[in-house]
Amino acid sequence: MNLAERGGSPLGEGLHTGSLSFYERLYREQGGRMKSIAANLLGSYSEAEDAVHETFIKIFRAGPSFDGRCPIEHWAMRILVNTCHDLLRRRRTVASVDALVQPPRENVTLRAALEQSLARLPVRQRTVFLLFEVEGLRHSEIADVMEEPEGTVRSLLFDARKALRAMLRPLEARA
Amino acid sequence: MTPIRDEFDLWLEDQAPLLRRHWDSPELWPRIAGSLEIERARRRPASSRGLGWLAAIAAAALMVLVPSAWWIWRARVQPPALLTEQALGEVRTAEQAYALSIEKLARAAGPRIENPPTALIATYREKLFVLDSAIANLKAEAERNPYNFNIRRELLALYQDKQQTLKEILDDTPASPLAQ
Repeated sequence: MNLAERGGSPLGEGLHTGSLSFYERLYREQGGRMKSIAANLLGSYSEAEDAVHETFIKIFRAGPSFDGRCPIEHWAMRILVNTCHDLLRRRRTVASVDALVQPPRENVTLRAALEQSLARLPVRQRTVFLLFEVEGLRHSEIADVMEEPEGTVRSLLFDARKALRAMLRPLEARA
Repeated sequence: MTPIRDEFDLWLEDQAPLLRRHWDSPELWPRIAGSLEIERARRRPASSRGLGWLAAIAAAALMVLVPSAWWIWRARVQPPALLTEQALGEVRTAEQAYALSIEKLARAAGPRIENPPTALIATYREKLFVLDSAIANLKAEAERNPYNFNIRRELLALYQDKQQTLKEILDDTPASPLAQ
């Protein structure tokens, strides 16, 4: 079962005509997942909603040039992920919100430590980890979303797990 | 070859799906729909102008009201995250830069705002009123809580929106699909 089928039935026609019902359906089927990915990438619910809003406008604007080489859902996720990455880049130059993310402390739970460690991963590793482990996408789907070879996706995932292991192992030992 | 998974991998596989976020966003779809209606109105060729512009204006009005109310509401309900002295300085610098840019744009767009040449610009003028009111409210809040990150961020977002709106007013030509 692929990403499109998991979110509902494939979207098919509607992107090129720009009908609102198409976008409403895309939002209904993928909006929840889009919000979740954005929230985990950006670390903020409100910014996640802004990112999803911006993504839909970009999808509308780019709709006529969509070449159909991948499912619409993957393409939409790609736009979302790129939007989040842009926001993260902008954030670094405007205000140091990253400073709000603290390194794992000994007195937090392992689950909270996982969230904090995740926030410290390089953004491509974090994205692959979130898409694979949290959202349940396949390697091939993530390759579509990120426009990376599948081998690169696997490698990024391996590196992400390795880094998380290094960050969490000391806490796990104490738990 | 199946990779060997140890306890940590199993724990990770178990915990990671719990990081999936779920929350209600009743204002998000109306906000998106409003923006898409504006985009559609811009894209529509002049030959297809007709009653459609009424729907676009209605959606634009929706887009004006929903985000503004939502921004104000959001800034008030979110638990406060506090800025450091240095971050506050950076935010104030960014606010001043926006204020300067907005002042210049407002001067350039003044005649079009006073006498809107198209229905879309009339809608934008309404949007500016709402934004100005929201900005005034948030500025008052920011003066009371200068270190509140949420309020500052929302204020910056409103400045950004106002700047963008003024740019769109200047960019909108009489050939706009909504021109009357």
